[in-house]
Amino acid sequence: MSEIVAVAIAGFLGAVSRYGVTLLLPDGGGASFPWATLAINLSGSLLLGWLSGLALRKLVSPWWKEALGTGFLGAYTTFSAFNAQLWELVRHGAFVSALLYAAASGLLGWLFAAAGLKLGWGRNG
Amino acid sequence: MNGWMLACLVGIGGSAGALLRYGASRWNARRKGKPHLATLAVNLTGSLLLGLMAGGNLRASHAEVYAFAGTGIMGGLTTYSTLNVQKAEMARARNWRQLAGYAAATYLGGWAAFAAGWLLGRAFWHQ
Repeated sequence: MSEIVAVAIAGFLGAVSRYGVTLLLPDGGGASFPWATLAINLSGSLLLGWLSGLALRKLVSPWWKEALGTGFLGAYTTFSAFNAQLWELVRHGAFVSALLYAAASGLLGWLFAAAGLKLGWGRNG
Repeated sequence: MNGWMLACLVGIGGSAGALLRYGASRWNARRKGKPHLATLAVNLTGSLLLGLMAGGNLRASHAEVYAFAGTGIMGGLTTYSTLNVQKAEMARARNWRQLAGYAAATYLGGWAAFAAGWLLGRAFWHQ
């Protein structure tokens, strides 16, 4: 299967998975905390770090890296909704939640990706 | 419209968004651009356009269009996982200056792009 078709199918599945998680967990709106998108972005960062580490060791082929990384995890995680929720929190005066949300997404997301990379690299890490 | 139809619209939009992001990164690679610049470009563009839709109150007025174009296309076009892996790789390579610049451009730029879109949507398109 060509890489483009794989990205298209995996992108469909990634976006639907994201939609599914937002139905299961509270996802912001007004001053409420967007747990669903945070959980999606953190888990997606961990998994992409792991996948990238495995790909560097050639344990995952470039085709699978594009399908699962660019297609599935890329569409599963989102930066636009993150900004929308941050905006909503600030607009409703929930400044502490906004600060916590930005810090958790930016710093924890970074740590999750780094942990995933370490996991994927194995002893080479 | 039932939940399965909405999920399908999100999926089709997400597929289109992922293809656009894939195309942007391939195009950038052919021009020998740094990979994170393609990620920055799609994240800022997606934030601006989602801002327009949110400011225009599209979710309340046209739930199915928002599911397709907002949750689907913009959600699929923008990405957080690649952003975090790129941050982690820059930190590992001790490219602190690049990491700081990238994070600042992404977070401040993303906020500004969304805000600009939202205010425009609210002013010209609100229903």
